[in-house]
Amino acid sequence: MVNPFFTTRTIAPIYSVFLHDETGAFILDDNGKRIFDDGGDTRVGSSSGRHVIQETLLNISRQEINSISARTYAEISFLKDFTFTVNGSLDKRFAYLEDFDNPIVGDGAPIGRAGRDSQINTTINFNQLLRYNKTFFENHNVSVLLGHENFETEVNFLTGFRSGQIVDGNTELINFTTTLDSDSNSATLTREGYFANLTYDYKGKYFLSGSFRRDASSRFSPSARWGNFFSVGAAWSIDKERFLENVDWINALKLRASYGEVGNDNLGNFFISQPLFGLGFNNGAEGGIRGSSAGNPDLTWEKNVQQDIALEFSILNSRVSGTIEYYDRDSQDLLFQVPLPVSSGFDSFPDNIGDMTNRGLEFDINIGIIRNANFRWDLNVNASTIENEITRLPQEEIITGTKKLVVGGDIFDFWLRDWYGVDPADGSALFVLDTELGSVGQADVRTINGVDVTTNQNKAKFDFLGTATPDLFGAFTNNFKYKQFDLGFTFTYQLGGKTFDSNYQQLMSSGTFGSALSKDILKRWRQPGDITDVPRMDAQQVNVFSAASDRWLIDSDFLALRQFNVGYTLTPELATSLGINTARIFASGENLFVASGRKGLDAGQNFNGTTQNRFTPSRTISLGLNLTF
Amino acid sequence: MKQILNALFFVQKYKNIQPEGRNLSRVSKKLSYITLIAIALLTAVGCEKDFLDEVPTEDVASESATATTDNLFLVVNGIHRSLYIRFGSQGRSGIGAMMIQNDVLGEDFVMTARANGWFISAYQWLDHTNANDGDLLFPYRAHYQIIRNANTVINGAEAAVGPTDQRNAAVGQSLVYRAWSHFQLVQLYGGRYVAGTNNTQLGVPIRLTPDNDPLARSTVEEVYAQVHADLDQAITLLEGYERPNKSHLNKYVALGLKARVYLVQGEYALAADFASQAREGFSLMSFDDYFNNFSNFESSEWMWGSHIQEDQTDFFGNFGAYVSVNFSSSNIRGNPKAISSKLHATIPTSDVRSQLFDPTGQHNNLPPGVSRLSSFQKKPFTNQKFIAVSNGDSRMDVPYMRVSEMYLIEAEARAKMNQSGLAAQVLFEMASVRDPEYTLSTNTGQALIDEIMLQRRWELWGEGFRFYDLKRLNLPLDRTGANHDATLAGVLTVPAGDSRWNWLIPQSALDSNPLLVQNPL
Repeated sequence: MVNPFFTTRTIAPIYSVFLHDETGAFILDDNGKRIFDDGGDTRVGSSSGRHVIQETLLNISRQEINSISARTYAEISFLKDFTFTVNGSLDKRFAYLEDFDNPIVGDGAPIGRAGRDSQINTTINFNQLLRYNKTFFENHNVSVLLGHENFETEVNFLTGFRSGQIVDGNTELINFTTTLDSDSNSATLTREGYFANLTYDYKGKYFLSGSFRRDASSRFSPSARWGNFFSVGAAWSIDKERFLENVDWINALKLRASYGEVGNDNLGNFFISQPLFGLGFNNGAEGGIRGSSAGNPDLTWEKNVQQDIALEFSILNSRVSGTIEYYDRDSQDLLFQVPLPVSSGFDSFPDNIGDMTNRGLEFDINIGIIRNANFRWDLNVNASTIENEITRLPQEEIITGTKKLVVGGDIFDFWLRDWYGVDPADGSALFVLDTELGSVGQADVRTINGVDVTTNQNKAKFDFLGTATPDLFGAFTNNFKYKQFDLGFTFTYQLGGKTFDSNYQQLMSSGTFGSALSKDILKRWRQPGDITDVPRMDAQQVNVFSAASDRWLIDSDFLALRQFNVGYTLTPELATSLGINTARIFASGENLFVASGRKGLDAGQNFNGTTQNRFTPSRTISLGLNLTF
Repeated sequence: MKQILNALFFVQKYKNIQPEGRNLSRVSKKLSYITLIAIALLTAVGCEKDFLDEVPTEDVASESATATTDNLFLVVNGIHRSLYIRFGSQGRSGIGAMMIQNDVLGEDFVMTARANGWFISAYQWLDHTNANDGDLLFPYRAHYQIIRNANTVINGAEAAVGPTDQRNAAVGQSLVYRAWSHFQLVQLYGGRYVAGTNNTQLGVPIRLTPDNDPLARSTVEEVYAQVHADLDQAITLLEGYERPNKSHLNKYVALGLKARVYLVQGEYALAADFASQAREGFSLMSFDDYFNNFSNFESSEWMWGSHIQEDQTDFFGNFGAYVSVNFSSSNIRGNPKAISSKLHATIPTSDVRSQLFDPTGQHNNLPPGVSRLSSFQKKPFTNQKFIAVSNGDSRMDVPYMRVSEMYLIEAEARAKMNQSGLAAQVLFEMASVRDPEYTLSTNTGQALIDEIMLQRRWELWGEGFRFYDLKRLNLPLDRTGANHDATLAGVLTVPAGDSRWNWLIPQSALDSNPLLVQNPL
């Protein structure tokens, strides 16, 4: 498939959509229509032989998804305080994908090809619950829950892919001559769990709870598949204490604290712990298999431990309410695909690699700033801080992509070449030298302002040069109401953290032909003495000048207007006189504005601070009229 | 579990037809029994012992790979298949892609335009000199994957149930693969083999067991010793093995590899001897076959190759999707692959290998049934050596070893041992089939060596030899005076012995293995 986001971002603006003659007029076909210009294979760059608009019009890529779900239960109450319930649920999702690559332009040319995929997901859940509720001596409420559950999810996949379209207009597989692929497979994941839960409260004032779970997952080998998880919690409704009985300005006040463990088995595919050889490697008519997965029989549950303490409050006739919370989320025995020596023949193996902690404060407050007969102003503000730290690893370091994991570091710490700048003398890109890989005196090593730098990216020093983790992020919302008018808007924001902007990196190439460039390339070095951060244009140096380094890091700080709405509601009198119940006319918009470190940068699109050629959040504006009769 | 769910839905259905079906305990006694049965069934689910034992349908357990000798052959066939699968990305499809990487680094293979860019940065010497490049990693990763699978067979064969001759054939082939992959790797990533020295320069890690431990680089000499040990053992095990087709490796392929390896080592007597032994049972293609149907692994000339069946194609990744004369890919339409005009000028026009390249780029003289579309760019000296199935099907058989190479190895080796008469005779046997007007060479000494080296370049154009040859012979790269576009090629000359003749150790390999060290930068 052509990626329209990639194409629009990278195609050079000199290439036209339609064919033109020397005067610039459109060349028309026999029917008087414009003719798409695919460049006739003379274009350079990724657009050669392709036409994103024509292909998108002629190709078919359509997915239809149907889902059904069913729920049922049976319940028996007995011995006054006991209830036994069985619940069953079934969810089915049918996805059918039709693909067609036309024979005129693009991947399907010149013979056309089509594919069909069918995927059916079936998820079944069962549980059996025994409940006991009892109040002792009026004020002591006890509830006990014992349970058992089963979970099963199955994926059935069928695919067909054929080429050589016979008759125009028919894209069903029967209308093709040659089978390129015909396959099916299925996979099932099951989990089973036993659990117990106890809650107790005294007069609705003091609360205590405790629970225990024992869970198994088919993802893990029989010796490692069961995990134990427990949690405890306590809460104190302070507002119900006698000493606050006469404090009018407090409407609600609650202090709560908890410790809870949750298991996570989500890594790779359903069979990640099994050493496997893959089917689908036949050699002609002879069956063939190939090492596909290193496996790890010791792989077991990752445990996520959440500890928090929070104060919930509502004061001043509930004009001000909110929560202040300190949290500490530890991940123990983190599930991770650990890179293996390439010479092992496998890329990675799954392991529980260590522990990590996320700590921070969460703050959420609602304020009714103005409340009178004609005017209301409500404000909601939330903010979170986060601090990530790896606390245990089985090996000294793990380098993965643009990150390096070390104990004491942040899981999203960037590990990159240390960019120094551009040499004013000749416009070369300079990196801080790794003194183990090069030394002064070599042709590609220079000393500038006392710093040893290199023009060879392979000799550059790697270093921790920032993290993707933000310092503070959240949202704030204002809602106004004046008589019949209302207005509201929500901003989201982030402070701190860095983004590795690979899209910008691509647009700052020093020598890619036929592709679009950022206008920042105008700042390139051009003559000796130029002081700039953009190296000279030089096709032979693309790998050096564009090498991944902190040159491509940018602050992820942003402020975005995610949502805005304005409306007018008819007065009840007017509405009644028009014979309607209520009427509201409104306009609303989403993603209307974003301020970030670079125009077009969608900071925060990935947690790990990287970017892709993808759909940026669409700007939606709607106008509407709501009537009820 | 589904049956139980049905039972529960059955209960639910009953319940719903009761006037007040909210709570089953309140309705008829009969229904309560059904409920109890359902509940009993439901509760029983947890007791099913195998509920948590799931196995994939797309894979088989590793231990079954070595359970029987039949299964060993499944692994061997998987290796054969891996010579023409995609390793993660387009441009990294099997050995065909590595052959292109090798040829575009040389001077004989000419890119005529950028088109959609595939292999252009390799052509510019920018891939293998950039530690982070995915195309630099590709041969390293792919060959060690082959080695892992081969090691599974070699180390697990003893316990496999089945006939000895089948076991020997599986182990023999796996040993050839292990040798060949280490040999390819050391030629790329290792230091140059220098005859007459101890060759203590760093080679590549030698991996002999299917495990995940980090390994340091062995010396070049150690790698070559291991390659020979594996090939020697393979030759013994493959004695008498009758292969079903030429994707499989037999004794003669192993002998041919011995000849190749000795040639690199400058062990000319041994190279000549093994090359001569390897030829047994093979014969050269006729002039017409060479012109019309070169890419045919059934040919008596082919010693080893891949044949890609319809539903095992890699579409735009196949070797034929980049080098063939007729497949309509953006890459071929815009950048049909050419021979160096300088090299072409040295081939007599009566030689079939001259006629496989069209100085006009028109290709008006194609074999029957082969066509090009009008949208194909016409560039001088483009090849019609390689022919894909059709304009819409990029498959073609991919050659890894042809018997003509054995004639060339023997001729070169004998010429270098100053056996000019014998060398000229061996060369004549091959060259006279290619060119009916060829006469026995009267050259001797360096002139004869030069003639043989030219024949080698004509014969093996596009088959992935040129970089290896330049490196083993310690020659410079010289693309000047030919049809290379200086802007497109980027690099026109590279001196012999430059550090760039050693591919860098891939950064991701360094990152995941603390014992590895980078080549001199």
